[in-house]
Amino acid sequence: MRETGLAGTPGQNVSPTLSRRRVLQLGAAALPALCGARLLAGALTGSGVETARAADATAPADGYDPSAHSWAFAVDTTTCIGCGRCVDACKQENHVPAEPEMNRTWVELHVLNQDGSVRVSAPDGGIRGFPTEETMPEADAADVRDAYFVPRLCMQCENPPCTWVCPVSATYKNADGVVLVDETRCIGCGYCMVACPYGARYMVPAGETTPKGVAGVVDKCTFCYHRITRGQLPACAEVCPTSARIFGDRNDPQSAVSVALNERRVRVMKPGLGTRPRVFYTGLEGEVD
Amino acid sequence: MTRLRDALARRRPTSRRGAVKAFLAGVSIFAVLLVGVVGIAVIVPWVYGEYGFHPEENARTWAALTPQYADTAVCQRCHEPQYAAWKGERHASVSCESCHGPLAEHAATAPVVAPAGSLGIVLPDASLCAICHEKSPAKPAAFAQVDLAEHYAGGECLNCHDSHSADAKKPPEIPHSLARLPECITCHAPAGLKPIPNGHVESSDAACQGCHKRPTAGQ
Amino acid sequence: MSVQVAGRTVSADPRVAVRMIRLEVAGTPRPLKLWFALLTVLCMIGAVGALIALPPGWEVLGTSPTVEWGILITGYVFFAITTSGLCLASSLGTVFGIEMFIPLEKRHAILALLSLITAFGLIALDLHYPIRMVFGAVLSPSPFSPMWWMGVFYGAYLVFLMTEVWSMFTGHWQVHRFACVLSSITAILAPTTLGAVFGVLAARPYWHGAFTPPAMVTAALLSGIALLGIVFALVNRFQLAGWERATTLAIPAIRLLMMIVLPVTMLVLAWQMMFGLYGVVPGLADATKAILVGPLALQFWIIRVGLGLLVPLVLVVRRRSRTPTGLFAASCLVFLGLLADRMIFVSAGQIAPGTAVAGVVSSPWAEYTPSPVEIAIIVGAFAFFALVYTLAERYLPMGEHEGHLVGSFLGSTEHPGGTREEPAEPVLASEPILVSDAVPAPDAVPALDAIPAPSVAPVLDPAGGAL
Repeated sequence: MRETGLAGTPGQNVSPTLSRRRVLQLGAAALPALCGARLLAGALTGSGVETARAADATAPADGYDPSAHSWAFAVDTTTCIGCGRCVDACKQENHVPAEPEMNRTWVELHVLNQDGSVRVSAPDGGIRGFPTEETMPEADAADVRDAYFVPRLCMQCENPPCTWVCPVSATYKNADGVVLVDETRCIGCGYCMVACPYGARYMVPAGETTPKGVAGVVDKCTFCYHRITRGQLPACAEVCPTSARIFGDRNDPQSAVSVALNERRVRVMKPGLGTRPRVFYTGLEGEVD
Repeated sequence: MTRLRDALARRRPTSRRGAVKAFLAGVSIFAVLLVGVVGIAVIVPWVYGEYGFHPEENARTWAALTPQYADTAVCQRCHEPQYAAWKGERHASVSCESCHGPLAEHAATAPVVAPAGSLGIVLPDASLCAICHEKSPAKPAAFAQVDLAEHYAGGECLNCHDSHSADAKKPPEIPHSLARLPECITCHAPAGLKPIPNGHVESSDAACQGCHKRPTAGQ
Repeated sequence: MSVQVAGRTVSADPRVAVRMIRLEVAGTPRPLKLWFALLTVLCMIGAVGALIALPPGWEVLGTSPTVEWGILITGYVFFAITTSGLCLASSLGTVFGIEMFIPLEKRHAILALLSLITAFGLIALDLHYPIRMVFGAVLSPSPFSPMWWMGVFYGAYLVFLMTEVWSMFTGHWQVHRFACVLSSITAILAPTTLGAVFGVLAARPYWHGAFTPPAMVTAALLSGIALLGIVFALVNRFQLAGWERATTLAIPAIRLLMMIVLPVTMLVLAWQMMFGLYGVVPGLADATKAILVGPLALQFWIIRVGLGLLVPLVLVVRRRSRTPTGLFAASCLVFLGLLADRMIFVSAGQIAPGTAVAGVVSSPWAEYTPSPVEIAIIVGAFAFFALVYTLAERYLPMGEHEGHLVGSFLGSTEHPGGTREEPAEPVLASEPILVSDAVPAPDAVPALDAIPAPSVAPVLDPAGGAL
């Protein structure tokens, strides 16, 4: 058996489908194919998801330069009272699905017992507060060493595992430190959801939409990007009655968060994973995360 | 291994012509790869064009969304009395919308003059007070919290407490003995001897006496 | 106008074609008809489930933010590793030319292609925007994402498999050998990227670690071997094309592979469980406990370990069960055990989350129950796979082809003549099977740049014409 190379030798038409002529023909067909690909790419990548909400008259502050800011969050668990106003405000500000199992931010109750065990609870994410009877019944009062509330949100990590793993580069870290999701590119695979060590992401179910009117993509806390670019606070920080949530620009030494971080001893959650969160906690005990 | 060596040996050129051919083959493969990489770098942006990955554009669409919550400074423009009662008092750390919900649209669209209660804003009731002020071991000890079973149980928070300034007017205690008296409502009817103030519900003795505690000394 | 299908002429005229199909169906033996009917019904169920789950119907899946990857992902992983394992196992024959594994060549390619297509179908149903995946992966690639690499390698693998199958049936042997080598290389790389998808996640201690990619390759090998065992035991049972050589060579070969890979898998699994129980890595102990004594325990001990590893090992080792039937039983059990294993793997990484997810605290374990739609889709996927393969087995020539050299791509070896002489009667009467006497001794093989002697070429012409 004498097989020759793919192109064959002169005079020997071994594989008519793979001759030089065919290869050249394929090459010539590439140009219209690329043009077609361009049109198809435009049609299928879902451009034009502007909704009435997005195309609103109130535009963000002109000249907002993302690289001039470095947004950060400080959470004081010694003052949080677990009222859940933040959870409610976030749901209304950001069109978060009404389902109780989908929250961009939530509050947890951490109960540390004398024997060292920790009980964490978050009824409906804390949106209706933590009724004492339900969450801290009399029965275990003697066993409890300490109990406090821990507000949770996306950590907007400096080294986010979620952006590393997205197969289509749909989630990205902006220059001002906020991690956002490009809803026109997200394929809904959920990889970023399993990659997040803090459980900050959820998939928008059919029947609900993101603030931009899309379903089936991943959504998460954006530090209320549309508010902070206008000089406002995120909704959760705005409504917190006890100043447990402090937000600001670390590039500004006078900002509330810079002052708070300078004055307090803070730590981040799961520091060993190397994610370098931008959300700093005061008052956490060692047993937590 | 001999098989591999034989295969390589067979492919090694045995003549100068063969060597030149092999060299040209290698160079052309490299050239094709180079052209391919450069070509892709040029063609992909052209094909994908403005649909390419530009995070700045997407970030701008996130920034262009409409806020639903306004600032307290906005509320002050129309609601001066409530603002004055609130500012500087114990509830000053609680923003207006923390209790009253998102009001940016209301602030933008409300007419300058509107009858009170005509715009359908949620006026919170006592259940909202309890969410913050119900006593819980998990809340900081310095925070104002009450055990609802013992603190004027059955009474309405807003009967005594002003929601904006958080000032509390203790309900006047029952000044007289209750011995051999009919039900409270007999004398304190809306049109009776001493009318019941607005906001009090006509109800049983127990409800009245939950807040208007009897003096402890004698009856 | 007519169409050539597998050596038969099928008229394109609808009425004639329908009549031919009806005749064909009537001529099918009864058990086979029942088999086809059952598979068709299950495929219909799967199709209905798939239609319901297509965007935007995805809320019918049982997943939640805490357990986002359910049995559809499990099914995808299972079929993806099966397709890699098939090529890995058969590469011993197709690439390295080991005689024992040569009979696996045609069937493994068809099985691998079908398995990969099924895998892609399952993942397309789980993704919310599958078309965007194709475009996004090409036009906004993410080389740091293991899932992107998985897409690249499995996509390339699909191309190589299609080339392999096409060239196998149209007689382009040079292309075929090249495609076999590429497929085999990709068959090792692709499951490692699939393992890396799980292994890079520091947030999921059960999946995390550099060992997950090789463990996935081991599972792939086992799955491929098991599927080949099932198929070749049936080839022997029903005396399908090439069954004599299949019985004498392929079945012992598969048994040998299984005897090697089963103990290795058991050892790997044992160490994984022991590491988990050490309790040093936070979160890993919880996940391991979920498997050993928690909600996954029954599945693990009975199906995965007992039926999936111990019983098959006994069956392939004991002399009395070293029969095609024994291999069939062992392979079926291994296959089932592997499906359970992948389900346990995907679940365990998520049901012990270690943190609240989107506001939901799962204590002690997160809940996940597959919805009826998901179950229907999985059942339909298996039915589709079985149905198309049975059709291929029935209507395509599946005997060994003459496009291989023992010693294959890397150079031919000299045979003490006639290794291919047994069995005495040819496998298919029309097929010239004995290539060995046309293969020259190595020193007679010319250098690459010499013009070959055309006189040897006619030996390749198969007498049958269409193969």
